[in-house]
Amino acid sequence: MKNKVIGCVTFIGLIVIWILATTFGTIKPIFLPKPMDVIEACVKMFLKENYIHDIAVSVQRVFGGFFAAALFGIPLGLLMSVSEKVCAVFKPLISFIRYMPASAFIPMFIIWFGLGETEKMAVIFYGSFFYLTLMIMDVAKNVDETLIEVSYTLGARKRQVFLKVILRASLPGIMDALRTTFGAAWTYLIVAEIVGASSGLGYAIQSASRFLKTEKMFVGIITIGILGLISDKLFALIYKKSFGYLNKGGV
Amino acid sequence: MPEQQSHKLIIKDISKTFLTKKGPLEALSPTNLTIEEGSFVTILGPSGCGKSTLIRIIAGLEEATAGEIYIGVRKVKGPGADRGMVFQNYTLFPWLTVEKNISFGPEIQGNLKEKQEYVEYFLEMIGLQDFRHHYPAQLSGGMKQRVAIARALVNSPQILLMDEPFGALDAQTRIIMQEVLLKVWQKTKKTVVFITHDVDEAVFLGDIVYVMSARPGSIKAEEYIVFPRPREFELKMQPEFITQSRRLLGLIREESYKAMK
Ligand SMILES: Nc1ncnc2c1ncn2[C@@H]1O[C@H](COP(=O)(O)OP(=O)(O)OP(=O)(O)O)[C@@H](O)[C@H]1O
Ligand SMILES: [Mg+2]
Repeated sequence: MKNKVIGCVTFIGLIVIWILATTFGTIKPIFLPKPMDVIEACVKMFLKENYIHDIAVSVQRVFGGFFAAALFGIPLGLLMSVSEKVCAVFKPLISFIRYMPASAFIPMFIIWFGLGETEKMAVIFYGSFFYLTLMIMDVAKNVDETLIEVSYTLGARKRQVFLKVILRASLPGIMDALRTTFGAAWTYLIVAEIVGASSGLGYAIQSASRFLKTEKMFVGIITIGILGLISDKLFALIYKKSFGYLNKGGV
Repeated sequence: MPEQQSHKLIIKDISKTFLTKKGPLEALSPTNLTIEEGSFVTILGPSGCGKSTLIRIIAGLEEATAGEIYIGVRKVKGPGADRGMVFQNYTLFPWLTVEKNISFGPEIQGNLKEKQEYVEYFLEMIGLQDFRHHYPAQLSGGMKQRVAIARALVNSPQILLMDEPFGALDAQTRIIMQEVLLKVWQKTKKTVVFITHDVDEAVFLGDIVYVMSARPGSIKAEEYIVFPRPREFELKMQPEFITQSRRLLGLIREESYKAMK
């Protein structure tokens, strides 16, 4: 509780400095807009420019791309952790590809998929899939070896050990991996929307920048921050509710 | 044919050499041992002499370089529910309650219905009925090991293998756990192979104490412990007990010094 108060104070302090700097300072609004102007721009964007649609489109893209990455990344990572063959096939490839930045691939994706939703989601998928897969593999590989051994001495078969022990023991780690990569997915979303999009938060920031509307750019940036924070808190909540058994205090 | 129904544990010429990056490492030199059904055998040995290696081979978790393990006339291949194992470190499934941990074996073998009463029986025997819905993170070390013992025994194994199960516990808890274990053993009469480096513990628990030599390990000596059962904590104060412990301590010290070289 006390730490939360400290966190809030930091936020408020930042805003106060912002207000002071823009009211009494000599900073031009084009470099740093006034908080009131940002709020005004925000209201205007919601009421007149259908800003909610941009938000919805972006959220959809993040979820779509990320969901696909999780859908393939989790099973592949798990398989790579238990099968040396599967690992031998995919590991070198993934390790190589993940160093090629998603942003560098955007022109290729545009040629392959056009400018529609598929291309945006492909960027997010590409940006998160490889890291996620490797993280999941590590999580599953790090399951306590004696848990696996004790299962065998309790009569478990290979398949049961995988499903009832390795997979189950990995869940908290998988959740952590999802949380981390989801944060990265937001970054790729904006990258994808700044290049060749006609809607979404990245597009809103990009078009505001063309007209030097700094206050609108601020609205976009802050929106992304808030959305990221909300999703992170959601992940934390799910984690707490699902893995309460890990605490001394109990569920 | 009574011989065929016996569950005598026979360790025949078991040896183990690990292939490490620095070359082969001989952990066990050929070892022979016959352990009678229903007996409580303790194995003492200096650190690194191959005690864990031996018990893991019996459990089927490690493959022997040479030799065979038999239970009665049946040759052991790989791990199985007929040989329960309790490890030194805590190995409860953190996502399962005490009760579910104990019933893990029956659950995966699909005979939980028949075994439910047995689960209750062991919950009571280890005195954790009130903790049945607790998770491992909420238990003390001694409680965790009691659950681990019950979890192994619910499977009705022929042999219970224990690798320094009380090694991580404080001295007081350790003594209580020794008494609990003896009580459980008296009721179930399973064959127990119990590894320890605590001489008092080995003498207090065992019918026979085997002393292993420094690595590469092998059985160096055996001592029959004839103190009557049921044994209670007071036994440890008796002169005969102390004499026997001292003698074993002498043997093991010799080996420990060899191991240091
Ligand atoms: N998987 C392995 N690979 C290589 N060497 C191993 C392996 N397992 C054990 N050893 C080596 O074999 C020897 C015997 O190990 P083991 O664990 O059986 O000893 P221990 O008697 O149980 O010792 P402690 O009392 O410390 O538990 C040690 O020198 C150890 O380093
Ligand atoms: Mg050991």
